Amino acid sequence: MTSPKERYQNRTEILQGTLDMLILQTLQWGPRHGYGLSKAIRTNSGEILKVDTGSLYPALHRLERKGWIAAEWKDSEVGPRLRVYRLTKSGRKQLVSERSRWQRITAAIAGIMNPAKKESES
Amino acid sequence: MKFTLWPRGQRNKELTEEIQAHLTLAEREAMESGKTPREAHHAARKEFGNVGLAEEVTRDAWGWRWFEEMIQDVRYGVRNMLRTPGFTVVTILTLALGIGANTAIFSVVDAVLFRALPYHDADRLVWATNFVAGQGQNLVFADEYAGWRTQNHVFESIAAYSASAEYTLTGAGTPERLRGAQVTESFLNVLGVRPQLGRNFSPEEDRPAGPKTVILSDAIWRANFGAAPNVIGQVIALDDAPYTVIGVLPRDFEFLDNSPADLLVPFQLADSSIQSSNGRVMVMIQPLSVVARLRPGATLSGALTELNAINKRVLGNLPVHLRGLGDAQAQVFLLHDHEIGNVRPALLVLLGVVGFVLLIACANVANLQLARAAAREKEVAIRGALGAGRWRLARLLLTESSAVALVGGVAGLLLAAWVLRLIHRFAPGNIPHLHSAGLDTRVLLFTLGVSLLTGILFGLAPVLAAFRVSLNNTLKEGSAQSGSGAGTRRAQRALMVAEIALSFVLFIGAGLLVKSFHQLTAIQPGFDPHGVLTARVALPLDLYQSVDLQRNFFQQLVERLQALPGVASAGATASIPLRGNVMMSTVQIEGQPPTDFSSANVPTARVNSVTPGYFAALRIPLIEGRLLDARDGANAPNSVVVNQAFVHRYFPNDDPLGKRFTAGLVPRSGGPKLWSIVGVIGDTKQRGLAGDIMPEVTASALQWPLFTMTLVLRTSVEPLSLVSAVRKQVSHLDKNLPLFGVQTMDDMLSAEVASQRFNAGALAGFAGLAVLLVAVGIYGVMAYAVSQRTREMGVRIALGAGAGNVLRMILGQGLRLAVIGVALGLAASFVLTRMLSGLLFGVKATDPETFIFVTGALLAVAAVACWIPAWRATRVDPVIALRYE
Repeated sequence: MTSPKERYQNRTEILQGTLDMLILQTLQWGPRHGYGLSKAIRTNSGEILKVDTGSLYPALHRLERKGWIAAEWKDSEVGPRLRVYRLTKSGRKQLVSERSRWQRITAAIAGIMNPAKKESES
Repeated sequence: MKFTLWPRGQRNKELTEEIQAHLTLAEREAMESGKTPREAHHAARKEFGNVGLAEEVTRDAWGWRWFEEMIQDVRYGVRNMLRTPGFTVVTILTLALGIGANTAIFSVVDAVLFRALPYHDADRLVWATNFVAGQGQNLVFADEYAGWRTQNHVFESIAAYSASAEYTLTGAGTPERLRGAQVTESFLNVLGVRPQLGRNFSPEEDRPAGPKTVILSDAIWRANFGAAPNVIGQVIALDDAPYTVIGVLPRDFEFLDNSPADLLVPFQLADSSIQSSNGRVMVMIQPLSVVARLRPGATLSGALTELNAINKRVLGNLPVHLRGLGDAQAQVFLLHDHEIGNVRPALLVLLGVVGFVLLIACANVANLQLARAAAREKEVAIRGALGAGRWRLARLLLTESSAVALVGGVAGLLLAAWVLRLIHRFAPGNIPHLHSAGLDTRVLLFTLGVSLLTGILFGLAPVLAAFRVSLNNTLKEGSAQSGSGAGTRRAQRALMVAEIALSFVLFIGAGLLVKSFHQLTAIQPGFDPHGVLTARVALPLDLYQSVDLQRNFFQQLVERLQALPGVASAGATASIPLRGNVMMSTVQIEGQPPTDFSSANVPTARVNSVTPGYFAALRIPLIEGRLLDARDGANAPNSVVVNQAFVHRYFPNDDPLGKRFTAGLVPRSGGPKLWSIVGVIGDTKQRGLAGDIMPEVTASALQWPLFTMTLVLRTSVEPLSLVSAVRKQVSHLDKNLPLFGVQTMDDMLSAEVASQRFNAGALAGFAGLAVLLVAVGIYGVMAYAVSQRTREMGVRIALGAGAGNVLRMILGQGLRLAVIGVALGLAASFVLTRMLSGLLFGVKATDPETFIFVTGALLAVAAVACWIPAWRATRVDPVIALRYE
């Protein structure tokens, strides 16, 4: 008996680890609002990664609660006031550890996908 | 982790604003790439997806969800409670009774049993004694204490004390009798207590014939010396002797043995009890109590071994004829066990009893909840169909029951405060630290915990029932009267059986204790206690050194009292029945072989000294011969009366009258040491109502005067109304003499059975409560069962079943459950009542009379509780019943 909401959450579950890292990584270059973030991730990935906005805001608020990013309301010259996120000190540390974890995982996956290389190593 | 405490609404608004801004920006960009505003709007929305859902999931990320849901559940629960007020009131009252009883008893048990004694490092303190089998009592001689003190390797420090001393304080207001304790100089150090003012005794002050010094209690310092700091160094008069005040005890100091001490004086104990004067060996037997602090790492059993070894060495030095007295077995207890050991069984039983009451209350409420859960099956099914998960439903139901239990807990606190007041009023005086029992933080936490646990316990029944609900069936049945499943009915019956079994055990316990109490109060004390006033007078030995002075004083006093209006007969006695200080003496009967003092069975008797009016004042019957009277004056032959126990033991086949013996009674100087028996009186209880009666010799106070006597007045008016008149007569003879220990004989007798009365009363109260709860519970279950079967009843009656048949059927069903419950309770009782055996008197833990009575009574209660709904069932109108759906 799973409600629609639970199903929705399951999808964000899967993306969560990676999405968090992507957000932190993107904020490293400077504060951004939610829309800017989703655009930056899309552009920087060569339009391959499309951030599901339904996952983006829960992720932002979760990261904020963990203290890895901080938010601030800023007036924009174009219209509505915008909630701008920036990386905190502990967020920076978190990014380092996420990145090394990511590298280990990609290396491991690469090892599986490319067994020949692995044999030559040994 | 950051925790945002903004108001919820503000935060929600901001989240909406943030997402709207996102949409606006996306829209604007779409327009820049050439879309119409309308297209841009739709594209932005489409790309974003479900805005409401995104918002909701984001809110979950705030970590408030569980809290919000709980608030929802509580609100829902409260609304539910208000919708069925009758049901709610019964539930809350039932819980309040259970939780209140537990709170009250826990606060007592916590204060008395669980808290450490108010001394430094109290868990290393021990209480040591020697058990002398031949005497049947604990006795530590000075020799043994000296041996323990100097030869042990297990104690860091050791001290002796005696709490039985009394002193008359004069010169500080009206003369007053104070309770003192003699202590060795090490006493306060062992306990780790420092005087709040002044200092402790020095070793020089604790030697025989050392200087007279005193440490005052805080209460006496405040009451009699106005809390003056310059009391240190002041000389005060105790028993007309000068004592220098050297210290004041801390305000929260508590003396040992639950006996208050107004002052401490140095023991000045000689190392040996044996003193020789004029070539005669005298043994001073002073009751010593010993308290010691174990060295770190030392154990009780290690201490025991060593004390026994020391005993052996010390006994070797005693004169041969005393070794019979000294066949001592050391005993070492933790001080905490010694202090509360005698009240612990009763308190633990009470704690168990209220635990049972709470279980019964829980079962009752669970049953009510089950009945209601049946009515709510549809609601539960709909919630399930709408997507509520099982655990979410369980949480809803448990939150509801916990909220109910908490309200019950608050009501229980009020009840507990009231029960505590009753306890403080009726509890016997022998429960140490009881005064500190109250609703403090620890108790409140306990109540909170018990309430929540209770909520979960009784809330589980409907949760389990809800888990079994099959959505389809319930929704399909579609009628208001879907009826509870067979599972629910089984659960209800099981709970009912359990309740009956639990209450049976309580009922049995109460029955046994009540019977014990009756057995105890039915004991004849051997005298008539009604309308008798007692009070004590103690002559200071420094001023009343000669026995003539002592004799004259009491003779005159009794004559004056006898002349008072309202006094029928007046007398005085050295020791009062039930609780007088016990004086024992060896007895050597004329013509019998000399006593073998090394045997364990040395002939002894209790000795007493009374003025002639004593027998009439207490109406002690004369069995044979004559009572003591004016003929037995100072210069007459030494005469005594003996009790029947004395005759039974020493003259089982002879006529005791005219027989003579020597004993430790010291007659007027130079007279013959032989005492002859002139009469036999009835036995009176000497050591409590339950105690055995010892052989007793009673001499006349004219021939064997003593300096401390208890006045005994039989009055024709209310006894206590004479107190001031008696006090006036005493101070007329000596204005420095206080009258103390004023008490009527009735009160003394009543205090004698206070523990049993309290235990029986408390258990009867709780058992009564339990039976009441069970009766309500049975009624509830049966009434519900009947209402569920209204249609069936209608059919039966329509088909010609008589009222008798229906009645018998329903009664039979209820009683079958009651019988199962009673059978289980019976089995449990045979095991559990053994824990009561220490509290019983004159009744066995398996007393058949009590068991039969309780079985009958409980079945009768169950029958009545079943009969009412059964009778209602017979009144069902078949037409209405069949149309019921």
